[in-house]
Parts: sequence; C-alpha cells; structure tokens
Amino acid sequence: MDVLRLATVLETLPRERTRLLDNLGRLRREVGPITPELSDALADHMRLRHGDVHEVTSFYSFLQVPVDAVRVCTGPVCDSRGGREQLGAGAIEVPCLGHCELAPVVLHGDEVVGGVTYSTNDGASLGLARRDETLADYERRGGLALLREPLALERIVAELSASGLSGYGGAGFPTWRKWEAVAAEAGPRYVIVNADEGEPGTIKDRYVMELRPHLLVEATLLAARALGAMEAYTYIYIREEYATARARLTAAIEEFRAAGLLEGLSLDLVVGAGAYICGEETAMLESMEGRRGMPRLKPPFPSQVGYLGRPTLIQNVETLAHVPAILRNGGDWWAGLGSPATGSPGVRLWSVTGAVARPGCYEAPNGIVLRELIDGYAAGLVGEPGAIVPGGAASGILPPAALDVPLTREALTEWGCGVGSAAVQVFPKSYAPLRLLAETMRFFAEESCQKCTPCRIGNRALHHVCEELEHGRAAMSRRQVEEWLDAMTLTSICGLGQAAPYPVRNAFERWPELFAPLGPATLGEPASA
Amino acid sequence: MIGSNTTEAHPVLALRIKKAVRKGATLVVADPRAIWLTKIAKRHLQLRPGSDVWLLNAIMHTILEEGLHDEAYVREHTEDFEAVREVVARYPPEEGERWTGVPAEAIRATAREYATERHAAIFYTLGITEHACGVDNIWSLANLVLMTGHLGYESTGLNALRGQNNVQGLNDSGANPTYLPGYQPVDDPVVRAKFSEAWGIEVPERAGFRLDQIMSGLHDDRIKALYLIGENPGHTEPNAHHVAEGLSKLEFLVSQDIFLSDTAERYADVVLPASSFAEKDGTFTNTERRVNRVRAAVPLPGNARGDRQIVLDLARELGCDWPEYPDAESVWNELADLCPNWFGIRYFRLEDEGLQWPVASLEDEGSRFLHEKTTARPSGRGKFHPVEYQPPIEEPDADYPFVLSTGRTLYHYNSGAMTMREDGITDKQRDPFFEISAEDASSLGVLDGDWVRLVSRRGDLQARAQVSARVFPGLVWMALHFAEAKVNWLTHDVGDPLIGTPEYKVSAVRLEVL
Amino acid sequence: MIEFTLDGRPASAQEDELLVHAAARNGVFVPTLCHDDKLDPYGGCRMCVVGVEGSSRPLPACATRVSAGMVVSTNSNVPQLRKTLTEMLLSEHLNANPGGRPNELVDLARELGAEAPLVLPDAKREPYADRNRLMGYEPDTCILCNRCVRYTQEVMQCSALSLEGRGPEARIVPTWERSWLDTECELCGGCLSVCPTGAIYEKFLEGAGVEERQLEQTKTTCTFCGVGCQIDLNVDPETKRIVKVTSKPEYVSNEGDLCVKGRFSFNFVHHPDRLTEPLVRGEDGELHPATWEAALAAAADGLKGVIRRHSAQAIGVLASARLTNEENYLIQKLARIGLGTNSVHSCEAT
Repeated sequence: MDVLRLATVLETLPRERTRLLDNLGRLRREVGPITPELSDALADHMRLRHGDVHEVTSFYSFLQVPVDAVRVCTGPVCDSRGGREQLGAGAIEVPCLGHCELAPVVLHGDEVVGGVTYSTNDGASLGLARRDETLADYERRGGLALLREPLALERIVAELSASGLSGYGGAGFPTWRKWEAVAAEAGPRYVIVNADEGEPGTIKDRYVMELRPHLLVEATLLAARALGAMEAYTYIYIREEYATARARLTAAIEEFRAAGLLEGLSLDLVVGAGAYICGEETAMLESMEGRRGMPRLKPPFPSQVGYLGRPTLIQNVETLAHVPAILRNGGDWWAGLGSPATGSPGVRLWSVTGAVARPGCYEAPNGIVLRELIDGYAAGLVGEPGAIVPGGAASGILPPAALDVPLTREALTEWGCGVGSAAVQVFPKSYAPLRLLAETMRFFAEESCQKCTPCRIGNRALHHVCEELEHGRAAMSRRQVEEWLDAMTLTSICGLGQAAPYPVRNAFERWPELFAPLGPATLGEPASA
Repeated sequence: MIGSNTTEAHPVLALRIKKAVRKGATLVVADPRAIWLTKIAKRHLQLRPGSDVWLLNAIMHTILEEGLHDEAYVREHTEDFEAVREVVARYPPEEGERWTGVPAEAIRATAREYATERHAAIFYTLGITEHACGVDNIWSLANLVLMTGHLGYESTGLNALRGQNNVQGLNDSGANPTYLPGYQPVDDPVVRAKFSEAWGIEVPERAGFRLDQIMSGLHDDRIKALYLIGENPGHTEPNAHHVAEGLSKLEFLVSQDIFLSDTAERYADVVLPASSFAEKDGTFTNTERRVNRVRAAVPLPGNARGDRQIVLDLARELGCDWPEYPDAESVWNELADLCPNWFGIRYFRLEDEGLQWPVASLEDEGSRFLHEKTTARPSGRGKFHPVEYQPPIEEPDADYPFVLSTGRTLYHYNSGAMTMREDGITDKQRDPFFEISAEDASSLGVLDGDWVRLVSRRGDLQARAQVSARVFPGLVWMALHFAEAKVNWLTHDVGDPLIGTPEYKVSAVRLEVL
Repeated sequence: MIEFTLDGRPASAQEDELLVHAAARNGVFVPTLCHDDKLDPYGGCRMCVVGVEGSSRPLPACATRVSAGMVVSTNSNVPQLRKTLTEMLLSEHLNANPGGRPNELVDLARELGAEAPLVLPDAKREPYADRNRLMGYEPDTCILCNRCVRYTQEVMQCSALSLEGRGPEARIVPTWERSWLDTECELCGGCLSVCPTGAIYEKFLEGAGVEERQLEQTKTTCTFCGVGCQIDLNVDPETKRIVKVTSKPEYVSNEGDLCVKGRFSFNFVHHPDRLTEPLVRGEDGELHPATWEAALAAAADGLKGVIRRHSAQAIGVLASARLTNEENYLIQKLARIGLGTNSVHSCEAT
C-alpha cells in the first residue's frame, strides 16, 4: 500500500457517513483494493468504527478486488451461451452485467470486451434510436422546455394519472400515486433515481442512460422541481458495472450545470459496488446512508420515511424517462400508445435477449403478445425455444406454449408469472429448465443480504435441491419444499425472498416430470401474497 | 461529565450515557484527556489538569452575564449567592481560555446549554476530587448546580460516581473519624450518648485521625500500630516510597486480606486470611445510594474466615462483650436501628432489588433523588461557597517538564490484586504503560511500546510508552494498577487542606529514554 | 391502553407497544430469536411473524407496534411457518452446544417438533480460533441473528464484531477477522450474553461438558465499582467453584449488562495465592503459618501492647470499600469501643 498516496487521497474525502460507499469506491480506484488497513484508515478519517467500514466493504462484491479485474457474466443468458467458459484465472464471476444482448459478456476493467453495439428502435416516448451527444442535441429534440417552464405539481400528477404510467423497475406501483404521496409529506424531500439495474436479463435502463442521458437528467430535475420546493436533493444510484452510463450521465450533468439549469438543485451520482439487492429501494437507502444494503422493514415506506428519514421519491430510470414525453404530449396521448388488443396503456422498454435473431432493447406497447415482441422487434426466434423468462429472474418461467400470451399482468398471472422488469429471456431447448432453475436459485442465494431466515437459507436449499435433481436425487421431499416456498413467500422481508419461489412453482407446474424424485405434490393451495 | 472516565471506571453506567446520547441527549465532556466518551460528545472541553475551578467559574460567569441563572430558585432555596457573583465576575471565559486551554466560545456554549436545559445533570468522579483543591472543585460544581436550580427532580443534580463497590456504604456505615454510622457527628454529645447506650461502652470523644493524618502519623510518631482490612496503602497511597518508610517504623501491623500484599509481606506482624465477596453475606451500597444484597456462593478456602467472624473473634480476644451477631442481617439490623435514614431498609425488603436511602420507615419506598423539597442542610437552603482558582501544588518546571496525571483503566482494579491474576485479562493489558502525545514522543525519540523511565522528585519507575491522541503535549498519564511500577512512587502527598484527599491527578515528572 | 383482538379474543395493550410484548401481556407467547429488548427492532429471524388483518403477509411481532382495533392471529398458518423457519435454521446448525450455554433454537425445535430435513452443503463455516482466553466462538452454532453485532454497535457502541460478507459466505467475525484482543473490543462479553444459541461462550467452559443449566446460581452484587451491578455467580455443584458470571435483563442497576471485570474476573476467588492460613511473624523476622487462636492472640496482644505503651490514639484502623456495610460497621465499632479510637478511615475517603 502506498502510504503517501493514501494520505493524499484521504485528505480529500468527505467525512459524512452518507459518503462512505463513494469514499470506498474512490479509495479502490485511486489507491487500490480495500484492505483491512485501508478500511481502518478510512474509518479513522470518517470517525466511524472500524467494524462499520468492514461490514460495508465486505457486503459488496467489488471493493476488495482491483479495478482492472476481469469480470465474467454468469447470468442465465450468458450461462446459456457459454459464459462460464470465459472464466480464466483471477476472473471474477458476476451474476449479471446488464449487457445480455451481447452474451456472453466479459468486462475487462470497465471495458466490455468486444465493444458495445446497440439494438433498439425509435419509440414515440423515448426515441432511443437517436443518441444525444450533447445538451444541444437534446434541446433540438424538444428537451428542456418543461424545465424552463415548469408545470404545477397538480397538473403533473393529473397527467401521470391519465397516462397510466407505473413503475418499470419491477413492482409496478402507479407513478402518480408515489408523486402525490411524497408531495403530501412535509419537506425537505429527496428524489432518488434507481439506476441499480441488476435484474438478470434487464438492459433497458442502461440504454436510456447511454443513449439519452440528458432526458434522464431533465426528468430527474422535473421531479426535483415539482417536489423539492425550497430544497431539492437529488441522487442517481447507479451500479458500478455501468461505466459508460456513468460517464455519459456525469457529462450530461456537467452540461446542465454549465447551462445554469441546476441552480437551486443538487444532482449527484452515487456509485454502487456490486450488490443486486441494492436495487431494492430500502436496501438502496441503507447503502446510500453508508450501511450494508440490507432492506428495511416496511411499513413505513420511503415516500414517508426514506433517505435520512425524510420523504423520498424513488423512481426507476426508465419510469422517470417517460415523464417528459407524457408531460409534453399529455397523459392521454401516452396512454394511447398502448396495445389496443389488451387495453394496456402506454409503452415500455422490453429487453429481449437469448435465442432471438436481434437481441436488444425495444420500446413497444404494454400488453404486446410475446410472439409479436420477438418476431416484430427481435427478428424472431433462433432455433427451438425452451424455457422463456418474461420479466427477470423472479418473474417466473414460461414454457414455449406461452408464446401467444399477451404480456400483461393479468394474462401472466394465469401462468403464475409476472411482467417484472420486462426482461424477456429466451432459452434454447438445449438449456435444461433444471439448469435454469438451479442457476436462478444460486443467483438469489448469492445475492441474498442474509438478514432474514427464509431468504438466507431457503434460496440456498432450493439451489441445492435443483442441483441434486439434475442428478435425479431428492434433497428434500416435495411437501417440505412446498412448505419452505410458502415460508419464503410469506415471511421474507423484501421482494427477493418473496418472489424467488415463483420460478420453482412455475417449474413444478410446467415440467412436473423433473420433480418426480421429490415425491407427490401436496394438495394444498400454494400460498399467495 | 467532568473528571470521569466513565467507560473505563464505571463501564456499565457508561452504557446508560451512551444510550441517552443515542436517544438525543447532549453530552459535554470536560477532561484533560480525549477519553472514549469524547467520541460521542457534542463537545470536549480539554482542560489543563487542575484548572477546573477556572473553567467552572468562567461557565458561571457566562450564565450570570447572560442572565441564565434560576433567579427564583436562588432566592427561595439558597444563601450567599452574592459572594459567588462577585468572585465569578472576575473569571471571564476569554481569560479562562488562557488558564484552562478551553476555547472561550466552548465555555460559553456549554454554559448556555447547561443552564437552559431543564434536565441537565452533572456527573463527576476522581478527576474532580483528587486534587489539593478537591473541595474547591466540588463547591464550584455545587455553585453551578444551585445557581441553575438543577436539583431536586429527576435527571438533574450533582452526581458523584463512586469509584469502588462500597465506598458509599463504607462511609454510610461509619468507617470515618468524623461520623458515626449514618453521618451522625461524633463530636455531637447527643449522638455519642445514643451510640454509647446502644453499645454499652462510652464512645471516645477525642477526634480521630483522617487517612492522611494517619499516614503522616507514621512519620511523626503519632501512629504506632495499624490494623489494615483489605487495604494496601503501600500501593495506593501517594508518595509510596515515603509511605513504605513510615510503615517500617510501626510497632505493630495487622493485615486482614485475601492475598498477601507486598505491604503485609514486609511489615505485617499478623496476617489474617479473610473472605472475598463471593464467600460472604451482607450488603454493598452503590453510587446511587442503593443498598444491594451480597450473598455467599462458595465456601471459604482453607482456614480463611469471613471478615465479620474475624472482627468478632478479635473483639472477643480484646475483651469486648458484644452480642452474638450470628449473621450479617443481625449486624445490619443494629445499624438500621441506630440510623434514621436507613431505618426502613431490612433484608426482607432487599430480596429482588435494593433500596435507595433515605428510607425512613418500612413503608418508605426509598429515594430516587435527593433535595426534592429542600436541600439537605439544616437551614434548608443551599449554600454558595465562593471559590478562587488555586494552581496545583506541583507544576512542571525545567527539571520535571511533564504533568503526570493518574487513574484507572477498564481492565484492572486498583492495585491489581484480583485482576492481575486473571490470565484472560492480562492478555489484554499486563505491562505498565503510560500515555504520551505523538508530539512529545517524537521529540524524545520514543516509539510506541518503548520502555521509558518516569522520574519525579519522589521516585522513578519504568513503563512502556503508549503514543496516544488522548493526551496533549506536556501531559502524560499512567494507571495505578502495576505492582512493579507503582505510579504512587511518583505522586506527591500534599492533599486537600480540608479533607486530605491526595492530589493524584497532578504531579511533575521527567522522562528518560532507556 | 388500547384495545385489539388477539386470536379472536379481546386484548389490551399500551399505545405503541411492540406486538411481541402485547401478546405476552395477554398470555400468548410469541417465540423470538433475533429480538432483544436492549436493541432496536430488527425483524430478521422471522420466527415471531403473526397474522395481522389487512396485511397481505404476516408481520414480525418484534418490530410491529400495536394499534387500536388491530386484529392479530397466531393461529392459522403461523405455527407451520414457525416450524418451517426452525427447520431452515437447523439445516445449517452443525454444532448445538460448543460451550455449555443455553441454546434457544434447540429448545424451540424441541417444542415445535422441528427437525432439519437436510444439511445445507455450504453449512460448514470456516472455524474461528482466537487467542483470547475469555470468549470462544463457534461459527457453526451461529444463526446470523446479528444480536451480538448489534449489541456492540447499539449498546457498547464500539467496534468488536462485524456481520461480514453477503450470500452464503456471510458470517459474524471479530472485525476484519482479527483477534478479539486486537479490535476495539472491551471484552465485556455482552455479545455472548445476548447470543441465543451459545455460539459465543465463556472459554472457561469449553469442552468441560458443564451446562449452564446445571449450575447453581447465587445472585449477588459485583465487587468492582460503584455501579452495583447485580450478578449471578454460577457455581459448579461438584467442585463448588465459580465457573462463570452471568446477569439478567431484569436486574435493576445494570439491566443484565456487565463489564470485563464483572463478567470475567472471578478466578481470583479460587486463586492458589489466596491466603488460607493465619500468619504470624516469628523471631526470625519471617511470616509463619499459625492457628487462629495463636494469630488472634498475637493480634490482640500487639494492639493492646501499643495501647499500653502509647494510647489508643496511636492505632489507626483502615477499613475498606471492598467490605460489606456490616463488616465496616463492625470494624468501626471495634475501633471505637474495642480499641478506643475514632481513627477509623480508609483510602476510599474521597
């Protein structure tokens, strides 16, 4: 360790506990991987307990590894395309690097090996096909008008309500209600953009940030202006693996600042350090406050008690990015972009990856039929499909027979699945459903924050059960597995543990023969939330 | 918190302070060292050792200047306020900064916070009392409390944290030259008559000697015999070499203890093997005046006897005709019968939790705090004592340039007779050490862990340097626990003129690098 | 007081009372493992979940406050959930009794009839050996309830233990896996006092096969400072030796908390250096063992001699804060009317 270098860097690091994660990230980049000595030095500098910094450092995957480490994606799509074969000496396995359309993906330091290309379309709401290089580009496309002449909060809420926009991070909570709830609380309030995209198969937020960073910044500032009143503290929490998005956002924010558009506002990036769970909104708050990213008990919800105990609007990147189009063209216009067949309002970004001809990220109507999405946007299937995951790891697993299902919450519920983060992953028939299931459970087990028993132990047990089944062995009986799934769904603290049983239950239903070694299914109804 | 390293001397009580701060209480620590509590304190007043009176007068100066005192309380419940007003007028915080090293603004801010908070309590320990001006320090604190009316209700007052397990009870039960049990003055003929009648023998009228007078009596032939019970003055008294010299002159010394102390080994004529706390019944009284039961759990080792038994045996041998006292309770009942404030405390009431005296009757539930209606003085009014600053007895000079202050650590207890015999604890702390600032260490060329000789006008010892941010340049600090490096070889024995408490907290030393 | 419904019966509770306490007050015991009244609600083990009308999922009783009209159920699926959660914890609980301390998980499993349906293949944690001689730690007994870590953070507010890592690797270790002696740990043993499974334990009892529950407890007052902590001396009935010191949350002065001396410095009681015979200094100038009769006679003669040659005023008696009130009372009585002097004092006169 370079002691002089350390002293120089330490001197520049802020002492507020909320800056702990940032400080660790900077130390890692500027001095080296966080060692016990570095951790203690930072703790002393920030007047924190040594253990506090140890706990935080060890919670994240990357703080103790060099910045130029080779990171190999072993997410399900990459795994199905030979991801593990890329693992060399010293390489680190990462569950999903968010570049699934390029699978298999390897990061060398910050760089994606083989470079990045985009496959998208020119949607009416987000217009991803044209990349904004500068603030001027963005302004030429109609940007900034809303920021210059802000609408009243009531009007914004009304338009959002008319649009039918709901959260695209996975939970699907109506956006206007969130804004209204936060506005109803006394200030100061915070606005936080959740850019910790980590749901395996999901690439959409990265597309927005890399292609239209100014759009996200404007949308964020609109929210801040609308809710901030006197003080507006705004943060974008972005995952560490998204170096390009980070750079583009940083540049965009600087352009806004230079143009005087940040006056009276603050907008800062908070960079994660490798922890899927930090995408869960309360885990994100904990992480931002300088603690381990362990979800809080809810209620209270962040709209009442959020960042630093203040009312906080937390919005997913894509959700927020739709807001300017809605406000510019009206909520009704935006709702009309949806699928007339299913009556779903509006559009969203679909990440379509795996065994399709043109994997990428496409703006398409809500409620679009799965086959239409694959054929019409991703240029069709490649080979015979096996399992299809409609919306991220926890959204469940569909059989090929479900290709004609419209991707609505209602229709997918009938298949025991959800829309989740709209990350459609098509697996070839050769990729066994049990392998997919085992990999999914391994992912959940490794990403579990370990706070609650059902998630901490249940996911590990299910991973083991699936692996044993691959060898035709039963680690537990079917009845026991079902009891454990119930306990996970019902008693886990956050969505990770609550939703993890979905793919297993789907598989029980769709591929019952795979589970025969576990014995007969129970007659009881599965627990529902 | 003033003069109290609470986390080390009263670790469990410190947990309550930590809890209070976590719940939002404001903590101000006044201490020459950056003790643990300063980590969670709003402010640390890092005063020079011995400048407490200056600091407190300057705080009172601010309170009066800004009119933050409790006029109604002063008018209705106190006397001699004007005398203090006159004195503290000469102690402005700006000048105080020069004497105490504490920034004037910190003094003023503390004054405001203390005066304007209704639930403001002061806690002190030996950092206040172990000075030649110890009584002055207490009076200053009392002035501050009276002036703001912060007493007589919960979470207020001037709270002494008793250093040892039964200091409170030791004094309550009359092991004191001035007071018979229950703080009944021995020079009061009515009191003497009461005890003489109860005991069947005349209580001597002649005033007894205080500890410091007993110790000096070793040298001027006043004291010829000592009966030591669980005491090792050759370790714990200041200027210990001088003490040893005095002990060597004794005609007769009896030591009653659980271990053979080095004092007893060299000087005792008779050594009586006694009982540890785990081998006897009785009561201890804690720092909040709570009388708690002590219960025997294990048998005495070998032929050791309980201390009660030994004292009774010796009394019989001396020809006393005492009641039988078959158990501790019978002794307690005699005490309680003779002491009105303890009358209501009986063993059957102490089974689950103790009682806080005063407890006047069997119906009385005890007293959680004092001075509720009036102060404890006979006039019913709290008395202000104007106090002028007096410098410590021994200030650093060219020959002895460092101030040495002493105290305890978390891991050991006094002379170490018990804790130095616990391997698991000596693993953590065994060798004698002293704290020194990084600045002083580097100018002396001393590294952390180096052995250094500390020399005072009275003696010298060797200890390891612990380079520490807790002390400021010019100050060194050492604990008293080490038998092979008794810090009291270094300390001086000029104590408080009124009560004789030694000035353990300030001596002058020089350091010699080995 | 507010009214609510518990298992179909009307019940009452204090405003904002935790459900776990309110249920107990109304005669319904809700098991907990990660909960400790000293610590902030955590809600991690989920053992205490109960059904609450209006909530789609059961809620942790240790972290949910009662509100008026709340309808709470500990029946329906709650017993099964408890049993399943217990099975889960058992599936990585490889060592049930490393140091003789009580194990609440094992007790609960017995009560619920829960057994581990499998042993997780990654259950085995790296053993943790520490050179300190006070506290032992068996990671395979730990259920990650985090009580010990939270005790260090919330009560002691020091840095001794950390919840390290994430995923299956997560475990509790002294900060950065150092020895307890090299962290900020103050060796108070509070971590072991709150551990529900005995994963952290007094090293004195490691491998001794002595269980805490077989020990004789005597409640007394600690001898190390003026706080007056109430402690239980745990005595091995066979050897009649103190083998550990414990305390209880309901004890007034210390609420079950202890410091390093109070909890761990008791072996001096049985130390071979203890004086076990009276000693009298002989003609040769050395101390020699003597009978009590001889020693007491020598003491009395010596003191009487000084009175005869000088006066009672030439005797000083130093009592001690180590002694009980009763002993000190007798000592001052002896000084005053046995010897005839008021010169009785002690070095704790401050």
